[in-house]
Amino acid sequence: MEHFVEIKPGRKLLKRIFLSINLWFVGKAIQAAAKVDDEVKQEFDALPDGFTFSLGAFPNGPYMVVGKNEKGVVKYMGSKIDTVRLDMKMSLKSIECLFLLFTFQESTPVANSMDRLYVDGDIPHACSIVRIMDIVQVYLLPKFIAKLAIKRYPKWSLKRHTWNRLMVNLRAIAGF
Amino acid sequence: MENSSFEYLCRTKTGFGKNALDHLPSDLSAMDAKKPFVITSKAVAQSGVTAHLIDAFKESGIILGIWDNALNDNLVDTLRDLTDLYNNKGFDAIIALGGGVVADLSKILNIIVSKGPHALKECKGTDNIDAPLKPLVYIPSGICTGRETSRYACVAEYAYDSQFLMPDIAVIDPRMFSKAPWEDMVNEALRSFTNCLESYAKEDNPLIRSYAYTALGVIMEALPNIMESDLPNNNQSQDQEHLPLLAKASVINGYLISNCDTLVCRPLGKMISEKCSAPEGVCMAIILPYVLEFLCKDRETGRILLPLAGIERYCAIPDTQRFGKVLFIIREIINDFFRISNGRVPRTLEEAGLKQEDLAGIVESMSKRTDIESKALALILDNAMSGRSMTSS
Repeated sequence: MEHFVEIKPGRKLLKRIFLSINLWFVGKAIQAAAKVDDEVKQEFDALPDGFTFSLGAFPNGPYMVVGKNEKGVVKYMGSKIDTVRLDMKMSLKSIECLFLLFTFQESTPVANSMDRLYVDGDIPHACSIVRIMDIVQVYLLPKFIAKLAIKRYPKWSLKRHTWNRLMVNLRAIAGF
Repeated sequence: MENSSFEYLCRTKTGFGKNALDHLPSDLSAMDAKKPFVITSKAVAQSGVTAHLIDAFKESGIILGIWDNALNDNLVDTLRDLTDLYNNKGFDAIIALGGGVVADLSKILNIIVSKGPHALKECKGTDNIDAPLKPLVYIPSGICTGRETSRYACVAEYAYDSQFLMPDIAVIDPRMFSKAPWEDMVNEALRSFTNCLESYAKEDNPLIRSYAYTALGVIMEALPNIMESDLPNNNQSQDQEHLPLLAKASVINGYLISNCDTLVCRPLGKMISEKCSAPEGVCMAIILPYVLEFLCKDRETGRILLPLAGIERYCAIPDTQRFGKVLFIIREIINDFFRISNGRVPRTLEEAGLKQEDLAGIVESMSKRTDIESKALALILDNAMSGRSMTSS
């Protein structure tokens, strides 16, 4: 029929690559922070053993998967959600919404208030993960950027700001 | 008030603001829709906004079908073609991108593809659709009438009225708005303003008043921008920031007109508009103060000032003066538009080009649709002709 066209919308390859790298690094940093930072440790201790969660964009990712094994060790488990049993799935409604979040145009609370984030799982667990992510973002980002990404920049001790930050970044890069 | 009973139905999920369109693939998936059919007009397609819609669906894996020839004529033939297209290509949802004609076409197509071709005749009239239809999304891209999100649809002689015609989702994304003529914006603003204010004044339903209050706040935010930034001498608007705000008010206006079927200004304004040169929204706004003066005589009327003036000014004005202030604000808005447009927006029905001999016909038609007596209707129109206050007559 005239005036009709069928379109298969394409992909956003550059954004996908950017977000995949970011998610990979944040996943590794969560793993590192769980070993270095007491507050992150406490948050993970409150989660059940074997708890696994993902964060990503609906419907086709990219994702990051982080889990805590039976011994309580937190590990970044890659970017595939099909191969693991997830206890909680946190998704942004589109790759564009995830991009807004990871380019700090919107903080996590703002994204949530704008109805961009949804959770398949327990809300208390999601709140724990958001608190962990906030701490990790403070570790990874300079203050002026971190202020955009979280609700309130925390007042930390000098050791936490310097030594812990160095350790989290080194461990995230080294992957242990 | 506490003991009064009320009903309110709004079936539509409303998304507004930056990147609101990016939520659409996820929202459609939640309704199990995998292949939406986009209906739009040539003008909308040429303005380039469909590119934003396609962009929002990138990475979603959803295939879109776009048809961009919605016109005012041959709508019944068009519906037949669209039904074939919808069924043959395996679509399972409809996205209406544009204004009134596109929305009406989409709603009626939805009846046919959900209920079968016989439904075109069987579902005519009021409440003849007995179950939800296929998912319908409405995306405004310019001037709206408010009917788009309402329970009404009309193509040629086929008119429908059902709660199931309200779209499931309405998405107002600022990226989707191209420039619009100044007069059309004024008409849209005044149409929503009148419907919301009349609903707020007439109804004791707290939900209607909440929606009307919200929409009035939006319109009052947009009005100064329209007045200041867009001189009508420029054929096109220079600034489109207030277009999404007007669309937001129109979308809410659609929910209101679906729930208030006793509005007077809406049908009266339409009838007047058919007899003169002024558009419907402007005619509605001209008669609004007179209708309010008549309707609100014995009611607690001061509350109408609250959405117009804000809480601080509202509290500063004594209860006995509030209704007078409301009428003053409405007339001031119309007079301001008259001044800015160098007289192109009329202040009275006489200036709108309505002839005295047409009044009797309008009163007769309108008295069949409302419980207001013919004598009162004649008085309202007579005063609105010259701009004289009801209390002085």
